[in-house]
Amino acid sequence: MGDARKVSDLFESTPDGVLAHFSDAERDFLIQLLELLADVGSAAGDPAAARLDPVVYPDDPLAEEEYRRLMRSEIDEARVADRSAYQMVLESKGDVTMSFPEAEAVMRVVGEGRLALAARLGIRVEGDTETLDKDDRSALDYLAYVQGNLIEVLSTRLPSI
Amino acid sequence: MTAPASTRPDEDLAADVARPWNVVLWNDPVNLTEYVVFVLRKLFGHSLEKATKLTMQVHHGGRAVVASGPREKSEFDCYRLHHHGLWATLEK
Repeated sequence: MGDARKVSDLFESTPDGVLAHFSDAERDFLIQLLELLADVGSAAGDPAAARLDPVVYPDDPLAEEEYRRLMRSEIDEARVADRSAYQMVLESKGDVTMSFPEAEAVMRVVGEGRLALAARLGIRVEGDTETLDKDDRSALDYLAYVQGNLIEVLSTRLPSI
Repeated sequence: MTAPASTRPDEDLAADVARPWNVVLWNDPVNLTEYVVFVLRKLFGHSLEKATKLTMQVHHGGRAVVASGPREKSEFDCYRLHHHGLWATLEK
């Protein structure tokens, strides 16, 4: 697990939700995650698919099959809802206020995009990111920055216990 | 038709059925530490202190049991963790 940068100029917490200030370049980059995520699992043996849908019963294929049968549509629907919210936010012009559930959806999609990208780049254990080229590393770092900023804003809404 | 069981189910089996399922969270090199803490607080209502302790256990020890209970509830917990991009499995 890595660390997010602690700069917080992307999001502001407001009484109605989270105000996002994305530049056009940021929107153009972030919207591409939807294409990446839609492609996950399209090829056999895609490491991103294995990472986003981990096996629940590693030692019991029958229980695993049953779990998939029961939960498949629920998982798919949750992802469709998250990605629609993400698309709506990123296609808005100028600053946009996300409701808190929308902000959480954006936080999850950015995280999923990061996981899918890292899996396809062969990141398996701590330290693997050291071998990445500059562009790939910047992409993962930028996504960590966006997600880290959102976590910071959303954490203030959790009960302080 | 099957013949009536000649013995009662042994105690080991009964004990196994009663044993709760554990939701195991595994370390991964990509998710942010603060994200894991956030998700554990949000999904399980853990305090910041407990969520941080579990996250550190995962980070340094490779895994931690983050919830346990009946099978159906544990499967739902696993689903919620996967929905948040965390790597979770179930075990007894």
